[in-house]
Amino acid sequence: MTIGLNHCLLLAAMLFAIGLYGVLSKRNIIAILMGVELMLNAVNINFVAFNRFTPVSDLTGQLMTVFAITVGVAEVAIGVALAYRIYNDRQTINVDELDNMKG
Amino acid sequence: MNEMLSTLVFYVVAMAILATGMGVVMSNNLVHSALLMTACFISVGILFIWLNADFLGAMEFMLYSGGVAILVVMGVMLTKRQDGPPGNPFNHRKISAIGLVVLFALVMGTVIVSTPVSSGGYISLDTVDALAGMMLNTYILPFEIAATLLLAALLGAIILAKGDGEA
Amino acid sequence: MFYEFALEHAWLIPLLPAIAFVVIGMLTRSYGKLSALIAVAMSTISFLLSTGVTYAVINNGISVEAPFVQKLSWMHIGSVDITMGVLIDPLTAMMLIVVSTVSLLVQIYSCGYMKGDPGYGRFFAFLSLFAASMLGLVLAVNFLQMYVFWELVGLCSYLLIGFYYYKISAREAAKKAFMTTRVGDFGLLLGILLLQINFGTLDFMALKEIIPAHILSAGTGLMTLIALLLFVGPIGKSGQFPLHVWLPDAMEGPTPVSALIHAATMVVAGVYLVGRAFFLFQEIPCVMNVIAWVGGFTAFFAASIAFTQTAIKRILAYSTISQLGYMMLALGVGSLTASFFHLMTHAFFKALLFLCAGAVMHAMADEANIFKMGGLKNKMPITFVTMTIGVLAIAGIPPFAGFFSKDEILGAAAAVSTPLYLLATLTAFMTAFYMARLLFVTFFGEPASEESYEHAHEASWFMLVPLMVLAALAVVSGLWGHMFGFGEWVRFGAAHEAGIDMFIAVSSTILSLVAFGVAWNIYVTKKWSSDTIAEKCGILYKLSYNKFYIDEIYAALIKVFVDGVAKVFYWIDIYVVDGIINGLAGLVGGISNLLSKAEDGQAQHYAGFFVCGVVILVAYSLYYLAVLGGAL
Repeated sequence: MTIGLNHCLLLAAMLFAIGLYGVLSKRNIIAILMGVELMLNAVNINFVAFNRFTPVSDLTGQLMTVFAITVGVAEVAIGVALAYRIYNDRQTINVDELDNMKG
Repeated sequence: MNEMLSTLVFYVVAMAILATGMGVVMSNNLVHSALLMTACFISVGILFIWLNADFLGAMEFMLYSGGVAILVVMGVMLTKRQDGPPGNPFNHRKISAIGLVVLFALVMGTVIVSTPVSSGGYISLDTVDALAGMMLNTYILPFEIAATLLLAALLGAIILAKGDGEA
Repeated sequence: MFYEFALEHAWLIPLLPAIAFVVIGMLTRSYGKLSALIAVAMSTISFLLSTGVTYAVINNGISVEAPFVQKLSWMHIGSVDITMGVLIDPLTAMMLIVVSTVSLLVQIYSCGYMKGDPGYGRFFAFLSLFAASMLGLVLAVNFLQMYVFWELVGLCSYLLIGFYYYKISAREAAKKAFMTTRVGDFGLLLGILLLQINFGTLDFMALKEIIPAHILSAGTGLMTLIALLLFVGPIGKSGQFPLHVWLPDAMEGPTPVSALIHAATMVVAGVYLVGRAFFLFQEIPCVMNVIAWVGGFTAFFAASIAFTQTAIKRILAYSTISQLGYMMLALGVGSLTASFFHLMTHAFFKALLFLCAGAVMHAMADEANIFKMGGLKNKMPITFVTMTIGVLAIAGIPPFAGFFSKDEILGAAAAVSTPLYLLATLTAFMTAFYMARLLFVTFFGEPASEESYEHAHEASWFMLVPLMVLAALAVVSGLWGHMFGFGEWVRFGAAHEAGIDMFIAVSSTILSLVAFGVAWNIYVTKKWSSDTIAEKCGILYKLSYNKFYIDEIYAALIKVFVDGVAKVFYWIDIYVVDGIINGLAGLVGGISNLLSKAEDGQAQHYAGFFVCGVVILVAYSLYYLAVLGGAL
């Protein structure tokens, strides 16, 4: 059976779910950032797969991936800086303890 | 034969991606997680190349398994606790999160399976040339904005990391 | 000609004191002497204008049937056309003279009486406004204008009774006066509104045409209601039973104010209203009956209280209520002449009595209890003489003013109803007795307190001159009115009967003299002990001394009704209104509490809910597409 669009999309969905699980269930802010990266990669896989397996005539999907990677890198830079900042201020990066916005 | 090999490569890469991804989430050691994440990114890069997106594959290797991985490791090191290896514990919402995630995966899977897909495809032989042409012609504005965003993000990261009062 | 000018510019009469009020209130309040000068000057001018108006009325033959009217449109509201203006007929002219004379004399008197008071300027400002309001009321051309000034009079009485606002009793008295008269004003307002609704006009002259015709065609049903409501206003303002309770308490104000309120400005407003609207009342016999009996009863009732009071101003206050009852009685038996004749004479001798009382209290360091005075006739001869004239005038001894006017009231009452006549005669006897008591206890006998007796002194000329002028008026005004035919001049329908009914005149005079004799025996020669008499009377004495417990009854009624209603409303407010409000607030609060639990600050929870939402939306889309077969 030929590998097609659905296979790639299912793979991306699973990777996304794994990343989501990391985001939802981890305590460490760095680990949550990793989860977010996994989710971003899943989205990138989708872009590339759609570009590869659907009847299009240029590389717009791949180009979008380029931008997505750019944004992802920026996000990581900010995220790590935030984590460092929080760690400096509070001596912890446990998100359970970061509930200043509690209603 | 070629077809078979291609299929095999996809499944191997897919397995690698999922396994390393699971490893990132499940590992109890944050440094292991970071390493596994790098492996995952490499696998994704291979998948990109398999999907005839060689420029993106290269980008993935360099940016993700290079830059992002290093950034994350730096983060791990900067926020390290004094005692023992950096832990990577779950919180108390572990079970409900599993339920939610499985539900999500099922729904997405159903969507993917039940959606009719038009057949066909597009393979560019020279992705670098094509992407460069698009980026500097049609998509020049998003390109510039992305550049500005990167600059802003870097400045922001520096200011955040420095903290106030340390201009 | 001066009198033509006065007639054409009659609106200046109330305006000038009003200007004095504004000028004093705004500019010169802190300069006492200047303020007094302004007030007295303005009052003098308006007094002169009043005499001019009166002369014009006589000279031009202006009568009640053909009055002099100036009107200008004040406002239009839809179809309602409201005018302001002046209406001058002999009735108005007489009132103008009385009010402006008394207020002028009271102001002059106040120059001496209020000397050294920190509120000197303020006092003259209020006095001016008081005079202006009353003069405006007298000149009113329709019920609405009258009501406006009526309320202004009420406001001024509030301000002046509460003049010593740092005294709790003064504040309470001012409040009481205001609230009690307000009860009456409310009835008056309802009556005025009913008039406007039913006849579309409040103009006195227009109503005079309409109402008799209306009664002929539609009967007296509606008019009875209107007349009764209108009469509630005078009951409150003129201190008739049962709304008389404020008048004795109004003594808390400075004495000149009491004189002004009791003689010329405030309380006679009610009598004047009934007189002005007499064309309305006289068409309805049953309302006339009510007026007569309210007046008669009030006269008797107040006199019986005055019997036993000890504070000098309080006795005078009850005598005022009593005399006002006489006036109402006269109106009720249909004699406008007698009523207004008595109003005029009463204004003079009651102002005199009050100002004398003020002089006495001034001399005795504000002592009000007559039994702590005594023997003052040697120390204050002028005050003694003028006070005696006042007492003789109110007691109805010929030839003093009260004799003639009271005699006319008795005659008018006798012509209509024997019980009312007997009641009035009895009241006359009582009046003579308690006034004699006042006079004898204060001026005769031994001084009750040596120290204050030593300090007692005759008042200053500022105070004595008005006393003498008023005493002269108290002597001659009745005689003058009798000889020149008060009623004929004023011509209130029936011409004045020149002859005196000898039986009535002689019997009332004899009764008064007997009362004087009894009082002399009790209080001067002490032949009969007042204590034994009081003891023998027992419960009656107690009732009278405590003013028949009217205040206490009101307090109890208010306690029962107002507090009861208040309790019900309190319950409703607390449990129903507050319940609803608190329930709503609680509901919102509860929901917010519940929702704020979701806002727990945990970003991962938010993300989880977010994913839940996504899952639900996508699942619903699937369901919609796959199962329902819809199209996106």
